[in-house]
Amino acid sequence: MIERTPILNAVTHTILAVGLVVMCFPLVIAFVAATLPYEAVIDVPMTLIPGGELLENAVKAWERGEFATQGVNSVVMTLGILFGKIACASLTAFAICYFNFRFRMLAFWLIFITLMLPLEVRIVPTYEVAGNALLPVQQLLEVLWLTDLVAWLSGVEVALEWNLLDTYWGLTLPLFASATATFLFRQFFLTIPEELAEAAKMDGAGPIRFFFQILLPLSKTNIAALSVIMFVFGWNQYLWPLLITTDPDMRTLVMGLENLIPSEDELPEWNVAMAGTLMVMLPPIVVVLVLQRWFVKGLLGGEK
Amino acid sequence: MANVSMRQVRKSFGTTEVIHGIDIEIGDGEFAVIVGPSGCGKSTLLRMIAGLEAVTAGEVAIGDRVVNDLEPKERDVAMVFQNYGLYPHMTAFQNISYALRIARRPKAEIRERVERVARILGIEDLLARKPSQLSGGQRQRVAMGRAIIREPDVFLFDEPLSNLDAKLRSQMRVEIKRLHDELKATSIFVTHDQVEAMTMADRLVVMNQGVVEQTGTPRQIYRHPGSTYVAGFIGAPAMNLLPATLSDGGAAVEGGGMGRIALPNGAGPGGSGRRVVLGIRPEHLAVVADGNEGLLSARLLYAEDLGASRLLHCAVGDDELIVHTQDETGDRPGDTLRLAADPANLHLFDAESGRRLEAADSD
Repeated sequence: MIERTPILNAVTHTILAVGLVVMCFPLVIAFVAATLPYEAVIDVPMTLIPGGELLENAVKAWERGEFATQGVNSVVMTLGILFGKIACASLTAFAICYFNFRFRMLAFWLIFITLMLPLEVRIVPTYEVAGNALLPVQQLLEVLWLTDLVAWLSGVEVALEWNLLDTYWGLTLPLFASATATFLFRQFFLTIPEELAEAAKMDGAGPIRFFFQILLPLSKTNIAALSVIMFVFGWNQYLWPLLITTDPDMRTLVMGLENLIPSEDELPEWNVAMAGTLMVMLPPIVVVLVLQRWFVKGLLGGEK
Repeated sequence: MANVSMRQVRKSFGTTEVIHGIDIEIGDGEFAVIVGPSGCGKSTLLRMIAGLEAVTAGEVAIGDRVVNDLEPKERDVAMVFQNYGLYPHMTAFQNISYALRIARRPKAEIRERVERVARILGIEDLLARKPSQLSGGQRQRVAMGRAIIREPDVFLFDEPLSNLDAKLRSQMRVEIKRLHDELKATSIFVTHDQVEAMTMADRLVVMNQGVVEQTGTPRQIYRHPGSTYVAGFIGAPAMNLLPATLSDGGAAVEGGGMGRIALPNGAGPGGSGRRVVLGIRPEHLAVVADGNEGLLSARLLYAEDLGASRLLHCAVGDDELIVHTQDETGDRPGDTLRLAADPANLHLFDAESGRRLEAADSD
């Protein structure tokens, strides 16, 4: 649609500009604060002209916040969640789209319904399971009297245990399942012509080969788009890591930021806290900037 | 090399049966065309031979093996799909060689075989391109290459020409026939286009609503359509079908808008008064001068000029018919024409069942 409406244009641009300022102003403050020396940052009102101490503040934040350890943890957790989600989601969608099994639609709807249940809702049971990831199996065995049977036959008490607390598995595994990603993959697979699967069948490709050599390469843009969302999602995880880790060596950057926020009996070194914040913010921004072309392509339905 | 036979093959989707017991025998090296309108079950039949669709009842055999329970790849068949089914992320070379790569053939052999196939199809220069960089005709060739390279016993074609423009279609028609003459593999070609069916088939199978109406060479089917359905489907423009009644003890037919037409050999099937359908192909009708014997009086509705000949759409009583003629008379709609039918080329069908009545055969 081509319209020539200068007044409307002006109005919409004003709204956009106001929105932009509202969105960006806190970031500007954070950036300016991160560049100021301690004396300047506690001035009221704080100046909006950047100072020259960004590097010093960043170094201080890096050391104080134990960013080296936590950075590794964050990267491991984020990439773990990212790959776990994509692997899980693509395989689930593959099963739902290409295999004709009983209760297929039921499975799909069960997954779909979990879209509406964020982690926070199921956090207590999830924590219990994370305490012993084999608990559901144990309970199933108990319900079926299998534990008693084994105990009776061999005299061995069956007690399965796999503790995820304070481990990378604990940080990532409970977040692997993703209804959003499964749904996106399903929608994408539905657009792939059936003839492709049939042609592959005629060529002698089994389901696994079809998945890895045809479906996944075709899903490239889709995966890239998902990666962007999932990277930001994983990186910004706060509540779950807070709950599952007690060991300071297992903390992630987002949690570590808390250490930088000055408490009452400390110097209010907001410049250091903001420098830390900037550093923590950086990776998702880089990922979004680098992958945004793919991101848009993927959401618009792949390359033509 | 193998023959394909189907014995009492049935197919149901849920409770709906779409193929009602089909028997077809296709000889080794034959080019069989299955033709029928959309929804008649012809593609389903092909997919059952390919192994993409399970057979509900009956037997499908390739060579002397019953293949009902074999996977597609174990059947030694290759298929060309309607929309080509090329892998979009692979080059033409990779597309063509995919089956061989899965079978882990040596690299050198793959290269050599792809190049040979590309030479046959004239696509040597396109091997590095992806499907999106190819035109419709080129994609078609790549799809054929993918089938040919496997050197299968049987080629299956599922309306492969329906996405091409008219010119390319007739070109590919000739090319596929030429390929078949070269490779001599049994081929089964499904189409709804009766021109493709007539021109390509060694053996033509006409299907309608899940049953085989008639099989035979295109010539046989054109000359002796087994039912009004086949008569109307094969041949363009379609055969004129007029309701009529036998008279003179079966020696002639009469009908609403037409006069008495004597049947050759002096006798029709059954006696006077039997209700029949009279079939006359448009090219077997001629515009004649007044006063001749065996005439239909027709009013010209409109004329289509094809250049080399003309199609005259006429009304005879309440029925319409088409005359395919080189004659120049009757230019204005509303003209009354006198038409004569070639008595040697009349077809009679039973009015109820639509089956052909044999005594009216001309030869």
